[in-house]
Amino acid sequence: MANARSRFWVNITSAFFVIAIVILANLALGGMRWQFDLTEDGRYTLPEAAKRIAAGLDDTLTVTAYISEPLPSYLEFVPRALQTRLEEFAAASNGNFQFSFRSPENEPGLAAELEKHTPPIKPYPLADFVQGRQTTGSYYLWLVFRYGDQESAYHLLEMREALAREGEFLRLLPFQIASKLVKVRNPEAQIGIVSEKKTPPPELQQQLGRDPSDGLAQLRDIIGKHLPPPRDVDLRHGGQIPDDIDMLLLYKPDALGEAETFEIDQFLLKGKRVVVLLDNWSSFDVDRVREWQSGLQSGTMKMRPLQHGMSEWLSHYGVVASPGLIEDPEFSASSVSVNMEVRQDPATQRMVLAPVERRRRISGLLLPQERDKDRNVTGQFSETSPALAGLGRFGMAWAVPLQVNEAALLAHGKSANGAANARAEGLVSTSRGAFVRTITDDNVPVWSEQQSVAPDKTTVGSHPLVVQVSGRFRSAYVGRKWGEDERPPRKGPDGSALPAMPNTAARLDESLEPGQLWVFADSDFCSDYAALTARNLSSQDSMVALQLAMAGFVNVMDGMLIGDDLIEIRRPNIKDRSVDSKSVDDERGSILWQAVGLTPVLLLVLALLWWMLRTAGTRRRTGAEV
Amino acid sequence: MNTIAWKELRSFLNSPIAYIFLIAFTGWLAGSYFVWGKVGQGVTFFSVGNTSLDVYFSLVPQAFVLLIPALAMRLWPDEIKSGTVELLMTYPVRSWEVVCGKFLAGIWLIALGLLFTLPVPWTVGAYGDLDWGPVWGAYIASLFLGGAFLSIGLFMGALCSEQVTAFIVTAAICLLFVLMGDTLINLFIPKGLHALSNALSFSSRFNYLGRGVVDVADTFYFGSVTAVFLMLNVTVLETRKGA
Repeated sequence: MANARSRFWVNITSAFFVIAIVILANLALGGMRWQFDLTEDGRYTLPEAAKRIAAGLDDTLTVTAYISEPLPSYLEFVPRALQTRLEEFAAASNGNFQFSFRSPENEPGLAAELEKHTPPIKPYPLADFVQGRQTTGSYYLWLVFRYGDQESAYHLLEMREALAREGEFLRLLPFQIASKLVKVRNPEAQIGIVSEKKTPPPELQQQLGRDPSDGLAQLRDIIGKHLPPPRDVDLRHGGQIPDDIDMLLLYKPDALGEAETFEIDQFLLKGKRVVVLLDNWSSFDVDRVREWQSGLQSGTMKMRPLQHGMSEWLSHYGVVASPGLIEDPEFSASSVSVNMEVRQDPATQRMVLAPVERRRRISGLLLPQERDKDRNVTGQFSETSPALAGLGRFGMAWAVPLQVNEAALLAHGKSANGAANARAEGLVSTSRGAFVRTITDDNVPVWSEQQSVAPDKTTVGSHPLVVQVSGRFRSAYVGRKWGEDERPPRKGPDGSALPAMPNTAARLDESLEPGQLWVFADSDFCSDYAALTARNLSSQDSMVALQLAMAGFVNVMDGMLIGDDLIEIRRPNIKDRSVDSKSVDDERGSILWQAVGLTPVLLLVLALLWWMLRTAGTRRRTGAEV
Repeated sequence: MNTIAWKELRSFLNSPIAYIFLIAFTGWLAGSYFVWGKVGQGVTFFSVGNTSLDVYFSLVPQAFVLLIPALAMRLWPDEIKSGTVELLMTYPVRSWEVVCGKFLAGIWLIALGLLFTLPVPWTVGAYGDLDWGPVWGAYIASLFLGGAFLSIGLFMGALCSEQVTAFIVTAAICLLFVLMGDTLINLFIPKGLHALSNALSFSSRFNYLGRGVVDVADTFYFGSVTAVFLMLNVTVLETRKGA
């Protein structure tokens, strides 16, 4: 009995001893991050490109994380996740990346010091629950980057809903940090935007504000996160492009004259970058929201024609822009609910204005996806172009018919020995069944119940939607003389001719440095109002395609200005791996059978087989015994 | 140990409980994901529209909380009730070999259950670009979680002579481990306990592994919980043997 009791105590003591060792081992391991990332694209590992950016620091960069202690319950993972990522950056930086955590709650006087910072670093009110009771507290969630005399602050709340989801936070954080490193190291990379701002109609001013808008607020916001905020450039009436602009974005150019295109030409020949978002028709503008809504009901929309005035200049660089618009029966098949009606919401039992499930084809909408030789969607546009790799779709609306005429480019894009030193390439294209529809009365079809038919078979074929032209060029204006300083005359506000703008800079006839010109067949994909319309229509396909087109567009600009590293870091979300919705709809029954029905049937068959084997075995044994 | 494991597995397969477990497990997961939607969210494969299987694998802990205690409840209470445990103790085997044998039988059955869920990722992969990394991560996480639940079930089974009691207590403990560290649950407990709750949580570690990131600390945690409960089980047996 005494032996049993002592054995009991030995067992209990050794159990407690082992548990203590296990707890200590877990505590020790908890501080270490030995991880194996099994995802195909290493989504949760610091990307090589981010390491390259960190390794490229040639001076000390400090990151100070001003993080409140404690944080709301749903953000408690943030300090640990942030520390993990910052440690990875520090490890890759050869000692030039240093970071520290500071909590204004634990350091008296720090809050007042941060208040004086430019811009002020303030706590942000966030809701929390403490023991079941809702409370609101103010929390610091800031990162401040300092590099030489450059400083940039990043508010983690800019990550929005991703901040509250650990997986998304870990995935996006390397890009956010790397983009700040790029921003403080490249303070000179400046984008200029040429666009026309319009005032919202009075009835929409309450909703959209009163300030004139070009619909590029979202784009400016995205660019401003990792580059200096884009600056407006006014080319009208002989305005010039400032010297510190590195890339010029022409958004929906309208009625450009020779003086403006000459200015753009000279800018390109300096080895700078030009991106043109072209349109033949103005559809998504702040002053046209009503037209769009009525167009959805009637089926046609009175569009405002645009005379971009760039055809001649573009054709010199091998890009032929024609009138009309592209329709693609294959890639415009994304249907949307176009009728709205008041009905009862089954979830809330309230009356709501909601789209009716009457699906129609938006004939001018293009949602191209690249396909392989077997006509299967590949899931990404280009493995070779970093800007477009990983993008599964693209969204454009009423695109301009473009063609690439490389011969026209090579007629002047040649070096002294005759070798080509310029090239033009279409990177995103429609299907081979696309065609050009010529519009004669400004009434552009919005939707149709039937399949679109090409009015003119000669235009049927694959049309490029994004064209890249790069290399050294000869000016489109070589040999043209306008006056003493050989510059084209300006137009006054009333359209009258004015004398050429006095300019002391030498006129360029050939590229000083290799330049880049990108032409997009549409401008709407980055318009705030196009995104708003897609949301109102509840068109998931359109929303995703527009977002991906915008991502591709931002990639293009980043690639031109700061290299490909940031593009490489921007990994697609796992949620971007969409299923082939048409096949899923068509094969719903077979999916249900494979995924739900097959296993139970298989298990029942196996159970039956096992039972038969067992019965046979028992019989054999019984027989042998008998 | 292998002999005991094989004997237990055969006894599982000879009874309807293994098939009920397998059909309930695979049916629950696939049905929830493809037909009626995840409880409280109504999300199905057809409404998600992408190849992420996050929602599908997030159903695994829910299913395990009910099914693994049901599986484990017959491993010890049956033996205790019928008195075969005393007979087993007279065999020339060590207590830990008996415990590990029973554990192995249970884990094989859980692995078999997970194997039968493979048609789901195959099906989803046929209709889109599926990243298999998070899928394998989720399978590893499920196996570790299943092992931890099973060890808790075995320990509770050794303590309780009634199957129903063992089932209820095991399910309650497993549920507690799953709920701990959950953001929603943290809202209702004092802030001072959050660190402890997060450290003991199964669900946050399961989700981390399920994203396709195998962290040594997380796998070690699952492994150590399993080992501790198996060891406690051995202690109970030894004590019983001594008595």
